[in-house]
Amino acid sequence: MRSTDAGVDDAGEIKEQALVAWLRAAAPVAIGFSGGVDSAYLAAVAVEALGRDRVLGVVGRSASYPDSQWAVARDVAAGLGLEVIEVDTDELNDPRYAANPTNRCYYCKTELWTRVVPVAHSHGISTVVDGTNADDLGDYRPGAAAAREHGVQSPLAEVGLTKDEIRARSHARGLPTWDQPSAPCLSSRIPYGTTVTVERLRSVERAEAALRALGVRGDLRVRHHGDLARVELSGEMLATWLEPQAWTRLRAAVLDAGYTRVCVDLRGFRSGSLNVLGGVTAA
Amino acid sequence: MSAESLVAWLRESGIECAIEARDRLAIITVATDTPLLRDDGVRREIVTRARAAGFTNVAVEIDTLGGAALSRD
Repeated sequence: MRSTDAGVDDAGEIKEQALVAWLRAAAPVAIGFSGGVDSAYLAAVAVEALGRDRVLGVVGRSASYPDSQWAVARDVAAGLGLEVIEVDTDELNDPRYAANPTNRCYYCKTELWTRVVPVAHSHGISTVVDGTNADDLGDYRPGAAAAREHGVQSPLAEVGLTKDEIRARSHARGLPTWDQPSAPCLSSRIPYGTTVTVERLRSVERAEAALRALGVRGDLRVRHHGDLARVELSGEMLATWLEPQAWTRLRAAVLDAGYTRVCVDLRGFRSGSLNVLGGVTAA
Repeated sequence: MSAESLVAWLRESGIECAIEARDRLAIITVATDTPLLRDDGVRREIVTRARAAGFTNVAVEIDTLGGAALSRD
């Protein structure tokens, strides 16, 4: 599976060797698995280094992620030969989460790890890890505190692997996830202070799915502002979708999802743009 | 936030529009296709001007059917 692609960066390869050593010292391991870039790479390295019978993937299924996410996670796991167990999480029933404070992720991850860690222990696994990478340490991520409180470790971050390095190493391994866009939870589309409800999450999910069906590629977020959907597209896609015919189709797709007004962000996609709008991070 | 200064600059630049401020989000509503908005440089300038006016986010709504923010101008 591993290629001899000359583009592999040496620093990433050295860090991967450190990751292998880390995993061997900690095995067996349970991975909080989403099928995204980071956890898929971590699982691939772990399965190769430890063998399938010493790695368990645990997927936390939540209403705050689109249904399509689980199908992707299952496919990626199958491709890696990773055994996965799915557990349901219910953070929306936690009023502290639903109120959508700036530390919302703390309550979500508390719910996630409260469910996942016992599953790992019941399989005789004491080491639980997640896909947090070195870049994540510099972001505003209140969920990281919940992971620490539950004893969850972050080997990618510990060995210093950055997102770019993980993508490069994933590419070298032939993983289908290497260029997968980030896919944070749907609640990240709802401004802080606006209650997170299943109905709002489903509106966002329907709108994003409709735009994907229209042919929108690359980064995409539908930000929820009550009756108004603010669409963030990759910068290079903006001019295309502001053409009259394309705009008409985009607008109709989002209106059909349940919004009454549609706008497109002129700066294009920005990770954490609602953090900026909410004053959590700088513009 | 000063939506007035931003809308004045947009109109001087040939973009007939209305602006609705939702907290620190500026929504620029145009009633017709506006080719200038497909120009990368123009969009960057709008973002810069919007930030100078106190907005953190700026978005455009093309309301060819009418009835959105333009009627509130």
